[in-house]
Amino acid sequence: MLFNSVIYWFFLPLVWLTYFVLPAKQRWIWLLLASYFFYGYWKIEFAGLMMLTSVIDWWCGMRVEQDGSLGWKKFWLWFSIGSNLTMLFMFKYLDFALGDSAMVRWMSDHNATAWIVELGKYTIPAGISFYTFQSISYVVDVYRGQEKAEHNLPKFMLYVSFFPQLVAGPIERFGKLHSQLFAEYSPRWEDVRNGFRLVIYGLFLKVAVADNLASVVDAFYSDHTSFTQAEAWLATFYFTFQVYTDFFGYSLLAQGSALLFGIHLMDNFNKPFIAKSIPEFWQRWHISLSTWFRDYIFIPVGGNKRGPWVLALAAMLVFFTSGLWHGANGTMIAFGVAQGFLYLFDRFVFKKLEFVGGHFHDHRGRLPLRRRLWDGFRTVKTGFFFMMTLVWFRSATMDQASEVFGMLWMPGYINCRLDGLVGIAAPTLAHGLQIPLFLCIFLLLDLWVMKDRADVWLGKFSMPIRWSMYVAMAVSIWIWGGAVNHPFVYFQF
Amino acid sequence: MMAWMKDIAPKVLLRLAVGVLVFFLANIWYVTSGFYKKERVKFSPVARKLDSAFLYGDVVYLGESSNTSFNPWTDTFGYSVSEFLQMYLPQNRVRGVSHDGYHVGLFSQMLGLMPEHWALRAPGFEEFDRGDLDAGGEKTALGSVKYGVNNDNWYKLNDGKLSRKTVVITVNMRSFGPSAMFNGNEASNQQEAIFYSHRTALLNRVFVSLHHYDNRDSREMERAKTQWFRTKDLRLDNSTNGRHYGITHGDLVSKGEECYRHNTVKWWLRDLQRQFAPVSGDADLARVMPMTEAYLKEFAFLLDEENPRVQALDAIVAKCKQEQVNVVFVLLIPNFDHAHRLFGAELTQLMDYNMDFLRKRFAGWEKEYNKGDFKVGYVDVQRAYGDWAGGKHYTDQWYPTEHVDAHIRQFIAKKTADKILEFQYRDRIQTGVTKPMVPEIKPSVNNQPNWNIKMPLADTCLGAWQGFRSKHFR
Repeated sequence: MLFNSVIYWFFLPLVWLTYFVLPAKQRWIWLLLASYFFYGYWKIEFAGLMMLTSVIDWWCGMRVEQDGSLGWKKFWLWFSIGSNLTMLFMFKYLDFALGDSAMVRWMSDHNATAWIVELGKYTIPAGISFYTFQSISYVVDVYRGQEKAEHNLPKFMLYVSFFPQLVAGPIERFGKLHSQLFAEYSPRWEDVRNGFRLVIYGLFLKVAVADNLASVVDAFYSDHTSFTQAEAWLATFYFTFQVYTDFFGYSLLAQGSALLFGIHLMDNFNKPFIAKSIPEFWQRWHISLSTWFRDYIFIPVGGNKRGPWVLALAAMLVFFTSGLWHGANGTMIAFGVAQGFLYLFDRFVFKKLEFVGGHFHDHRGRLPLRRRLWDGFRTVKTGFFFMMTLVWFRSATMDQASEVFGMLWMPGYINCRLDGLVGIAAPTLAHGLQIPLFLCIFLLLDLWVMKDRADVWLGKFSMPIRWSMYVAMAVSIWIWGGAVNHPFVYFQF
Repeated sequence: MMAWMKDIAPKVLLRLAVGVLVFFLANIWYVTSGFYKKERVKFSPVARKLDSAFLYGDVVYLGESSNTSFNPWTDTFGYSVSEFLQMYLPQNRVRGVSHDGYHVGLFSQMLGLMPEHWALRAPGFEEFDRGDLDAGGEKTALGSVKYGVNNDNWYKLNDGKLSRKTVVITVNMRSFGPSAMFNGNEASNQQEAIFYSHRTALLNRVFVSLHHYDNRDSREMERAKTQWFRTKDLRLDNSTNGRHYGITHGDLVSKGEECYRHNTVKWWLRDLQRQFAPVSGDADLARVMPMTEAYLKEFAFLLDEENPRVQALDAIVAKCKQEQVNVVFVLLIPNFDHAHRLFGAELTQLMDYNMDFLRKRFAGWEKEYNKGDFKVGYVDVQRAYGDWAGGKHYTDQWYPTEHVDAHIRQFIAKKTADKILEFQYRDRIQTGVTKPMVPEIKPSVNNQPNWNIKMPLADTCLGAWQGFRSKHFR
């Protein structure tokens, strides 16, 4: 079930109402059932797969806690990690790993092994990367002694499957989510109100901004060779904000939906496009995944405490894994590796150019103009580099990515016409203007106007202005919602 | 009542009420500003044609590409089936609405645009047209007119003379198969279909924004299709011994296995590849192979009651019965000739089975509704024609479509007209114009190269050559 589907808007109020009508001690059971329905609505067998993952991790968590010897603790830890990664591999990477070799054709022709090939072609269970990472974090935290194991299997299953954050995060840690799921809670108007604000703003970002941008981007990438250089730049620019508004919108919807139940999920984005460097960018973009990588890969490998070489190795490992996490495709790996190099470049090379910006304060304690210009340049540079790496992220193949890079940079492609792409993706003038208009509104809000999260920011206005904004957003969703059939970008991961 | 409920419920209800009010106000603005009209044309051009067809038509012909497709190079008589039908039914206003890749599933949804009391037809055009204006027909958001506020008005309007309108549904057996059902374009068809209803205008747009339709993308469709090929059993006799239904192919290469007895499309395709592998360098086979594969993927399936398109047929009959509109199904002929050349009886038996499945269904309805006011008829083009139409009648020689030449198109129209007239004679509303106004088409004349068509490439070459000659060979 998708957040931007009609059925979800019947499902959510029903679950919410029933949840609070039930006695407090039984509410979590209802939430568990609702979460499995939410996931199984798409494909029932995947709910079974999630249950299997939960049972294994629940068991391993208990064994890790209860077994006396360190060896056994390690065994159960690696058993849990291994089982999660195996699931991921089977459903996400097997097809990529097998490719189309002679061996695969041989296996396909023999019933005894044909199922392996068939499995590789099976649909990827939505959000498998998110809930397996969440499960892994639980077992590791128990192993480290940071958390106590959950002995009640259904309660653990709810931690893994809590529907607002199940399919695309935020990837919550056990300690934070578990305590909220089972706490005594009476619904508060503030939570309902703020949840509603997050939901409507999230839906606006997804339906009115991201889906409209997708119509242009999809048109370009479906047949990139028939477009001009200017159109390649437009599509690349639009995709940067498509992926941002899409995932940011989803995260707000998740946070808003959870808040209706009194559960505060972590912020997944914090104005990434004001970041001055790639390391800072990743502290602001998909924060739940970045912190996961930091805590479970970067620091255990050595982090930044053991010299530049170990730091470089740890960073590259994190970004390579991040690329692979995003998809079983050479383009995603290239995206991750490119991010790794940009991270190291900013960390080791660009940092040495800090003197160019001059002092941080003038004699009146304000930011000097030179520093402001330098910071502005760094912000634009960071956003630009990130935008470039997204060409790999969006391209279907490495060949397509190479061709798009060629179109963007080779002088032979110079052509400023935009009418082809705009004509296809936005056939009417109104539609053609509506896309950049919505994007400009969003950028204005995100980069300059909104200093707080949407719910807090909206709460600062008087009622008439606030309601005018709600109406404007609702009407934009209803009337100007993008028609392109584009599920959330991060659902595929 | 719990304390929190007292606090929250009034606030939530108030906001819900405001939300509903805003929705309806936005809907009024959306419709009156003309925005919806434009959007409807953008998202669903067919919906507008349907409005017009239901507004002005006595016979509405819902067709797919076979209605209009003709080959401009060889098929010199470019009338569509519905145009021929109009010639055969001069006393009726025939309106054809057709679109590539449409099927009975969509036709079933298209009937949602049928206006109320549309079933009842005035005896002549003029009376009808004046009638709906005199009746002060209520304008809908779509710009069409709802006829007759109630039955009494209607009867008054038409002086008590009633007739029944007819919907013609083309039925393409191939569209019931997995290749058509799990087509990558289906999501956009389903998006268009949102507008085939009289729902609140803004609700339609919201459904588009929230993708409230079968919006599986092409990858998911491909997976569903592959799963069908892999798992659906093709054996007619339900035997479990791996045999097919007794057809043998002496010449097939099978590498020692009884591989020509195919249980599934998957194994059949595998054998196909093995047969072609040793001669893959052959240029002719390079052209034949994709067509062969397409025939297999398009026609190797067995119909059953669970098939969604079969269920759509049921829905069409139910809707027409409810609205008391006659319905005529036109069962098109697939290209048996080519299928037989490529696969022999092994494939054509499956095709025959499916055609019989549909025939039985239609014949059952025809019999069931023979006596009442509401009637169901069907035109079995294959049986009416005598046998398979020869492969030469198909304008697509390299793909298994039902695009037929003017000779067969005219034949389909004639048989359909006969069926409609049969109903209308029984209703005793024949209005005097009986002579069909159809030009004579001789099959031998048709299907000849059309020398009137300008060939730009040839002209260009000629021009270039003349330029070159005048410059260098003076």
